[in-house]
Amino acid sequence: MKHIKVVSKRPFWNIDKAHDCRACQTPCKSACKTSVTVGNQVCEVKKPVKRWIW
Amino acid sequence: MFDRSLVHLFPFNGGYFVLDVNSGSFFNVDETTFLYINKLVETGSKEAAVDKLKKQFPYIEEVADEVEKLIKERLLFSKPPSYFVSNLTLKSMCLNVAHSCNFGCLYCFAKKGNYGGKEALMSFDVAKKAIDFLYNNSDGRESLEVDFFGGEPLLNFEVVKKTIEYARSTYKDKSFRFSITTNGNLLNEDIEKFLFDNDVSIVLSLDGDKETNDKYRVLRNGSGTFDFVYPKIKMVVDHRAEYGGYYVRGTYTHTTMDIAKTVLSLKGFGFKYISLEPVVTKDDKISIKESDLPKLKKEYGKLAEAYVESQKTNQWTFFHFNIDLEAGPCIQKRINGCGAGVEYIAVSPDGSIYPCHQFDGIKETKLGDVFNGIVNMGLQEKFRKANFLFNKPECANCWARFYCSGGCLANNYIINGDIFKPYAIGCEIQKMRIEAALYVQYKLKELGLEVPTTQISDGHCS
Repeated sequence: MKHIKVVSKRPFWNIDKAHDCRACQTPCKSACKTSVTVGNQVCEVKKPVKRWIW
Repeated sequence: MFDRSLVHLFPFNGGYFVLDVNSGSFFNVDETTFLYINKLVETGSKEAAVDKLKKQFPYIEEVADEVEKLIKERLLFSKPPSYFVSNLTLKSMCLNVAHSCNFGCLYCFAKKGNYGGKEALMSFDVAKKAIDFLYNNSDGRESLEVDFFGGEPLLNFEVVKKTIEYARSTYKDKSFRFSITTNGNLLNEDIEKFLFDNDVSIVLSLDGDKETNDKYRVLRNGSGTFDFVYPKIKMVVDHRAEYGGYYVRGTYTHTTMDIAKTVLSLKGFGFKYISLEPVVTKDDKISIKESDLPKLKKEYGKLAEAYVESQKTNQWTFFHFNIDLEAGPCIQKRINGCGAGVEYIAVSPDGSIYPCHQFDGIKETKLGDVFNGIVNMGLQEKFRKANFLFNKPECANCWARFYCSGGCLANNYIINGDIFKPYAIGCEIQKMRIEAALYVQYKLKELGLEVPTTQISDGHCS
């Protein structure tokens, strides 16, 4: 396309719709901690094993 | 069909961007396309939009065809993703092990650590009961999270140590991930060794360089804290240089809004994982005001540009710019908010349970205690409802809904007295932060640079 660059295609639909594994970190948005919003998180299932919370 | 709520169009640092709200598809477009999509929304039809713009842009049909192609591919003006209502259980706990602090930070929401009550430290007995409560109410969870908080949690380090040991040795069928939020004053090599060896992530509070930090992060006598805290924070950061597991986080206020300069000065200290958060308060002297937002937006723009530029030579993370454009958390996660009162609770030193740490000490929001469990079921139900994105009308139609998932219920309560009513300034900051993050990810992709994520130490442990 000449006028439009696709940066990302349907990411929300690329995830298993029935997925509800409850593995993700609870996204406390409180600014007095580190305001985690869901958008700033990564899917826990897709991550390699990790040692730390973030 | 061309509903305004289905797309978000925004200019950023000289570029034009379009986000398809329901699919997360994201585009960099030229100015004509930007104007055309706006016109499409305004007029409601391709023909009408083309008609309005054809004099100014003779090639507008070409633009319209490209947009139509995206619509047909369900990449633009797409329908909402399907979801269901999850039966959520407890996963995360904030253990307020110290209602006491050795600092007297001027913006402290916890009223210098005692949350408006008497100074107190949590006993090991209460901490054990809290861990039992977390475990016993976490059906379906494999991994549980505990954050040691205060006040200053290192004032009660013995209880922190024993609690970690108790949780892991008692409940071996679930994994526990611990974090601690500290002002750094009591840190030493022994404490850091224990925290590191036990995989405890650490949030280190520092507001920036000496001048910025010492404006609000002070001792009870009003003197600055930078000089003696910085070396201790640096010690932890250097110790974890290879593995991560830390965030240096600061707070900015109405009087310290040079966030680009502040973040870059923290980076200049050699910190790799950085976050800077807005103060949330009703105190007019320091609260972020509507009139501050244009300045903040410029700051985010400046920071985004500097961030991208510096990634060419030195990878580091500013937390607000982490965003996964390929997938990220599932839709179920994106519609269920922070979990306060349901997935996440706070326990105060006397064992009282509150929906989150910011509610600690607000008596009417007490849910129960670790000895008797949740007794105020009605309140918990209210929080369950408030956590669901589509139960808050302002959130349900917001373009940022699948990134923000509904804001901070505590902020809603503190500012508006209603957990269902979003804190408007917070929403605006959230939106500018998401726009900046989307821009950053676009730029990094354009430059072919690896996109940093929140993953700090993948592959380090087994």
